[in-house]
Amino acid sequence: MPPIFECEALVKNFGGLTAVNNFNLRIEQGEIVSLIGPNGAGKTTIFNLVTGFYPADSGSIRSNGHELVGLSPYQITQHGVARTFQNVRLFPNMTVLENVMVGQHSRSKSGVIGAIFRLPSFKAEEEAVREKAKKQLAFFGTRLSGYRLDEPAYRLSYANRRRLEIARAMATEASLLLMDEPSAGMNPKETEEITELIGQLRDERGFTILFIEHDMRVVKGVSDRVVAMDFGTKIAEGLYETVAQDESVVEAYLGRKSEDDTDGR
Amino acid sequence: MIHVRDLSRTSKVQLALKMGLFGVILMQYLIFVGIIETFENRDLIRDVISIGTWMTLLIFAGTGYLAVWALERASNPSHEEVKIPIRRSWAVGSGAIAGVLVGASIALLVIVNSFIELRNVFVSISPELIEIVTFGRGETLAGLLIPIALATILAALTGSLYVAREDVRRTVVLSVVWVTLAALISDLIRVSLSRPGFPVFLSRTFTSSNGLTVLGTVTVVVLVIAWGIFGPRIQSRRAERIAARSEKGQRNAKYRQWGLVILLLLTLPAIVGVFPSEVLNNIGLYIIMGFGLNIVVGMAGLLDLGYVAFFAVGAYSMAVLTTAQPDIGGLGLSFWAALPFVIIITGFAGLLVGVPVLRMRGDYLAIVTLGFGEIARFLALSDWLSPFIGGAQGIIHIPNISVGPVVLRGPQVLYYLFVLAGAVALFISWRIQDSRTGRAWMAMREDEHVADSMGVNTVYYKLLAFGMGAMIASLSGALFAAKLGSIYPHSFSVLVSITALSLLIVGGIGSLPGVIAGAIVLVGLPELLREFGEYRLLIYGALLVTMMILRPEGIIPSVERARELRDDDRAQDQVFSLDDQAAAPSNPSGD
Amino acid sequence: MATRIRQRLGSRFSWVNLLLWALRIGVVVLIIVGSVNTLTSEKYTAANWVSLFFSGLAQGSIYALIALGYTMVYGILLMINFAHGEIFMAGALTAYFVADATARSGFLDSNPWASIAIWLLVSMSVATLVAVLLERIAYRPLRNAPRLVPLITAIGASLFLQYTFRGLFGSNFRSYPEVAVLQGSVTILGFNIPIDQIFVILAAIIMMLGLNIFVERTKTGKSMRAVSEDKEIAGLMGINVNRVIVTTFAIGGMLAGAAGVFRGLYIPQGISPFMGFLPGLKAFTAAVLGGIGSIPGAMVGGLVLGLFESFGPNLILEGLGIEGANQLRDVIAIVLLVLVLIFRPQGIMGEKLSEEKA
Repeated sequence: MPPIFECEALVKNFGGLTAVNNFNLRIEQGEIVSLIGPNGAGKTTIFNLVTGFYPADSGSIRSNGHELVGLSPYQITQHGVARTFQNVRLFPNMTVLENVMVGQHSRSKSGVIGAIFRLPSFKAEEEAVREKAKKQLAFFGTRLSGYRLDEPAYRLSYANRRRLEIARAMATEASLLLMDEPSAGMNPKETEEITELIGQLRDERGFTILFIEHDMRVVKGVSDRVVAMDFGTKIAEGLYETVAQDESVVEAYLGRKSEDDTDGR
Repeated sequence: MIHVRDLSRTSKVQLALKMGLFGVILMQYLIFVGIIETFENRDLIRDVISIGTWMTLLIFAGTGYLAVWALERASNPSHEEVKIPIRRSWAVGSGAIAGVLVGASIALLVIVNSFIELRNVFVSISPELIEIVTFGRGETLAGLLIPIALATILAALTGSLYVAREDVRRTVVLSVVWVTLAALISDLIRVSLSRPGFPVFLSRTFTSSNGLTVLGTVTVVVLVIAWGIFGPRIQSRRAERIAARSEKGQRNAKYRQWGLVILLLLTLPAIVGVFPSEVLNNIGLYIIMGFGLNIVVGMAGLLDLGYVAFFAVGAYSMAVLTTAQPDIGGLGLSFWAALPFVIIITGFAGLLVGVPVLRMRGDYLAIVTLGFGEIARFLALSDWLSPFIGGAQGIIHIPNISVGPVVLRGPQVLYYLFVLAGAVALFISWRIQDSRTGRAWMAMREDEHVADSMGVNTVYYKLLAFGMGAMIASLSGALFAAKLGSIYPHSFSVLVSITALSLLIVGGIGSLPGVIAGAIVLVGLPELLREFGEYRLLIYGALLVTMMILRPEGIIPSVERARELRDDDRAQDQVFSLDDQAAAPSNPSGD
Repeated sequence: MATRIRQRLGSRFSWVNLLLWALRIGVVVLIIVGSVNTLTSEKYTAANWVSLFFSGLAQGSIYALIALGYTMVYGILLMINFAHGEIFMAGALTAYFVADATARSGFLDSNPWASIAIWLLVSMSVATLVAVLLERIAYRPLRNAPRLVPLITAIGASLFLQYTFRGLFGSNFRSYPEVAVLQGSVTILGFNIPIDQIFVILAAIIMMLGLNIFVERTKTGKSMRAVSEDKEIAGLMGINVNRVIVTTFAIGGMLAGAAGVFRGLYIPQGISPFMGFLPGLKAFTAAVLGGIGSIPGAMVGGLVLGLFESFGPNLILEGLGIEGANQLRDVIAIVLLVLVLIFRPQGIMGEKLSEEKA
């Protein structure tokens, strides 16, 4: 069985700058892996490469054995990879339910003819999509259900918007979820909730998750494995405790201890 | 604006002067641009007062109203419930001050014109105009004083009206509005009332060949007053009746309403006659195009400023395929036989336009499509392509549309074809909106990048939008060609694109009833108000600007778009700015 | 198999890219074939080409001056001032009446340079006034609206201005009076070059240099650059953003007004309320060609467009056997615009404004 996700010798250059340098990663079904590193390390670039927004210069990205390099973003979603964004990007003027229904786009197929003539297949599919969307939203309890379903997305609170974005990504029925800083902008309580949520996504819904994080509470709280990056390369990989104490990781975040370092600075 | 409740005397005067200045600008603008002069030919009330003079008086009056309105706003800056009433003396005074300015500006104009022949530069300052604005007295002392006096008095009166009893104020304002409207469309009323079936005396009593009759005017005013008195009671009783209805009753009522509308729609040409039917057909042309463009701009969010190109392709392909003209390719097909080909060819043109612009956004897309539209027109006009499509001479001998042995000719008959095509376009738009395709378009419109991430094949959907929009435009073009019997390149100018887009915006982007409303306003009204014809585009332009500033969501806004364009609604906990959404994928230096 | 090819190519392969490449190659081939054909047929002499060169530069200078207005407004507000062509027209048309007066009174003959200066003064003042009013009334209320709204407003304003001027002055075509001093030509290196063209080119260059100095060296210029980088932050740094915006419009207006007079000097005929649309569109092409938002770009773009328009019909289109090529001169600009926007939206000076700020 091929791993659910595999990156091999991935390279991306922007002009003279090497943003991603020979990156390798393997993720098995059901794992929760976090990707950490200082700003500029290349983490979001990896996400953009995987989801097809930047073309890789060389290397391979495989989902369930399928090669993703060279595919368009929408095709990659069809192959089971979905993502959320660092600065929550919803469809602000669409309702909560509609946002999630868009997530179902790659799992449905009715087109113009079906829509115009309201063929039975169209109607059945619409119903199914609607129900599945509601099911995804139900995962978040009452927060995103009931009257909220028909509210435009811009009216939601920040935390609810994050949840909606996750629901939308869930609706794509992806096998792998890429989450970009899911706890950004959250207070400690919300951060706790999101940490739990990520676990639940795996335990109850079977998603495999790769997420970028700066907040070590989340990383520690829920990752099976941690991957650290700096300057486009992987510098450490393993359990949280191992990686957290790795010298190169500490150096990447805090800077090198200088020779004549006196304490306090 | 001054935010102190109790304005000093000086500031009140200053405010009145400022409003007077606005009045002066408006008055002089209308004079210099020639609107006053042009409308002199038409009477508001036959032999009593011309529209030009009426407009002048309206501006006098309006200035006074404006002055007091501004005074009230300045005295009540926080829009509180309890308003400080303006003392009548100040209302009259403000009005008078503003009015004096307007009148004086006219006097000044007349004086200057007596020294310098302004007409050499400003074509509208003719002797006729001077007659109008001096109310017949010309370059005499009376001629100078009368405008000043009239303006002051009228403005003072309306100033006083502003603070009068609410019902009096409303009645007067509404009377003025309705009389003006009725007079402007008096020709239409007259023609309609002259149709067989109406008693002969009706048209002649209320309207004349030149504006309303006195009796007609009085009737309008009486009606306004009557509505003012009885209206509220009728309305509340109706509301009670509606509320008291059962659910089934409500549904039935709705069906009855729709039934009436459809009945009216089907019998309209017979009611209004030939010329108005022609107007209706032109409106229909644009309604069809409006629905098509609505798919491209409203649903898919692709700003197409070159829609005329598709209209042209539709018209030209219909022409080429059906014409009997010997030197043009003409296959001599019938309308119906050619139609499928026309639709397919135009659909293909849609794809041709769509492919190059796939990567473009917003403004750039608009400009490129504008460019395409102009290229299409140039090509149609060129000598190079004229052996195929007629060049500047166009294509003639396009046969009429026939159904079997019956030839469909004349506006009243063709009307039904337009209704049919419009209904088809409406139906398609309506069905697509609430579907997977519609959602995909909306997602694409909101955030293309994210839509891609969610599995929406934006390339396909963009091309689909262009293709469908083009195909619907081809219906309009085909009907246009067959209706006129001949087509020439000058009918396919950028103005068509601008009109189509404008009617979408004015009607309300993304809203289907808005398309109809927009077409009626932007295409229908100018046709009816024939003198406006010259100034039609001036009014368009002003209307577009005003709408965008005051009511960007349009006449009949669609629910989602109204949200987008008015940023009053805010999130539960914070300000959510659409600018956040515009961020592209992180730049390389970020991670 | 298709996937394997895609992988080999590395970057995203698609039918769309293929078509676009075919288009690129097609255009290049057409240009080369056409040019070679014309040049080998020896239909035109060197003198012809030189003449086309200078007329192209002259026309291009006019485009450049107008293009600067577009590019500066876009740089600051990220909006296309659709009505800018009408600002050009306003200046040209109003100055016409002054020009006519100077001609009829004989002042033009006795003091040609003073006359031209007066024309310039009038034209630039009127154009600036219109530009500033436009910003204040139509654009300022919509500063924060979604992109579609100001665009529509600009279109509306364009129509409004065209028909207002038509109402004011009538729709007749007028002609600027001939200026004796600018008639005739000088001979340089054996080629005859018309004096009016040289005048226009030089005058435009001087104005553009002046603008450059203003933008680079003065405090206002620096504020303008700051505001175009980031409006909000500039405001936080104490810059009066509104004033800068008005200044930008004003300068754009001045340049367009000057362009109006130069147009009248170079091509006297065709002065009407509707003369602004096509030059406006072409000037916008020039701005995009040079790189919208970039001031040197607008200058370069204008000149390049002028040359392209000048050489295009004779050099390329005729070589391709297209009849009546001169008719299609106007189309060249539009085709060029479309091609640039498709293939290199950032223009020659490439300020990738399109992607980032879009």
